[in-house]
Amino acid sequence: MAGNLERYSQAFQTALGASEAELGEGYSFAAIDQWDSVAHLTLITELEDAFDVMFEPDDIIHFGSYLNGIEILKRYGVSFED
Amino acid sequence: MAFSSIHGVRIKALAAAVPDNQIQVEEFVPTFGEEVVSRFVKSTGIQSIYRALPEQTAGDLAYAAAEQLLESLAIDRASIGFLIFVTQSPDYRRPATACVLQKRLGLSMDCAVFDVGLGCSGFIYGVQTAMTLMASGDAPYGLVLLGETASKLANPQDRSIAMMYGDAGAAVLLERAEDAHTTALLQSDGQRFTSIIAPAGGFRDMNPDAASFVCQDGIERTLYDIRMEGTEVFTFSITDVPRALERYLEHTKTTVADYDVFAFHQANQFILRQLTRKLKLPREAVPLSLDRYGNTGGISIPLTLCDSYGQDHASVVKVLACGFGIGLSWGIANYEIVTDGILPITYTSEAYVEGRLKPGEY
Repeated sequence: MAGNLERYSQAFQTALGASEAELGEGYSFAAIDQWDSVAHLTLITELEDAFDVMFEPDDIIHFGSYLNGIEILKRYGVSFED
Repeated sequence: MAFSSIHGVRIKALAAAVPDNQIQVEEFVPTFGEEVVSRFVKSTGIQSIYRALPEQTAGDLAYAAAEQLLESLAIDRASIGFLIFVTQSPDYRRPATACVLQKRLGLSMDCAVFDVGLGCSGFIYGVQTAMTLMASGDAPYGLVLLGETASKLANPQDRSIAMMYGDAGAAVLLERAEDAHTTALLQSDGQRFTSIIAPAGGFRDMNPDAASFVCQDGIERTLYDIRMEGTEVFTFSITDVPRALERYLEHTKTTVADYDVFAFHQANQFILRQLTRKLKLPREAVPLSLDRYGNTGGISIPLTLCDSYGQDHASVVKVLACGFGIGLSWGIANYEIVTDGILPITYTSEAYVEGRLKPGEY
């Protein structure tokens, strides 16, 4: 069974066509061309389905980077310790 | 003005029409690629749209809906006291398309007609304006028509817009009913007027160069194309709109359980899902039509009701309707509608060809 970090990265690959290698510090809404508003909705949908959570509007709006998303998901009880 | 309440007027009938020209979203694969199209479907839920034919206008679509409505109810057209046409795709720069529709529908000279220039909130604003006219006048019936051909303003290379807008028209007939009561919440925020905009072609910038340029989102558009600041509009839809719905319920001292159906503007599936979850609405009480018809602007509320209840008879539905979008502008209102008056969606390829004036003809 895939760990949470793997599932998290998988959502970025599905929603944004990201490669595993590029997912890290610099991967953000501002830096990635294909991360537009439609892709953002797809990403949030993928993550909500993968982790069975429902993001608050503020978190959807501020979900601006790969790393920042991990911190947001932790607040919903998702652990990335595995 | 925020809240307004009207007594003694109700929606008697609703009709909707779409162009007889369905386009499957997968037909955009050669333009945008399979990945972009499949992501679009997943996030928006839109699988097909209906696009107006080149010669078809918003007025034509509204006319088709109005004819269906008036024919099926056998309403005496002389008893219609006013016609309001809600559109942002008028047939002409002037006169108001409502005047053209008055002629085409054979309404009397005692009928007051005018246009209202609103988009996704237009159904709520148009019906509330009409109800106010009914309440202060003596007309037995009032007519609100809506029409949009926003797809004609989409740049075909714009992956955020081209697959989203469907074209449609609708007709709403109002009548007097002693026990009817509608409360509306009408709000707007002109500070965000550039969130959704077609910058050229109006009188601010009438005939600029039609050359395309790369916008901040990396998509090429001309000044004549509609452009949406997706993140800003999305943020508005999942913050201001649920806040307004909560405010409405509080003001009217009603709860979710007081309504049978939540007829929301069909912006996209993700936004509808957010609203449903946020307000803890039963999923089955939030009907969807955007999967087949796309985002049809202000028509999406009546279109969704026609899609859901067009074959239904003799029941009464308590509707909470909410429209939101360009302006920015948003509105919420309640209606009780007998489903006998909600007609099935019609499909039309008709256009008012004699309305196209040519040099030498005048």
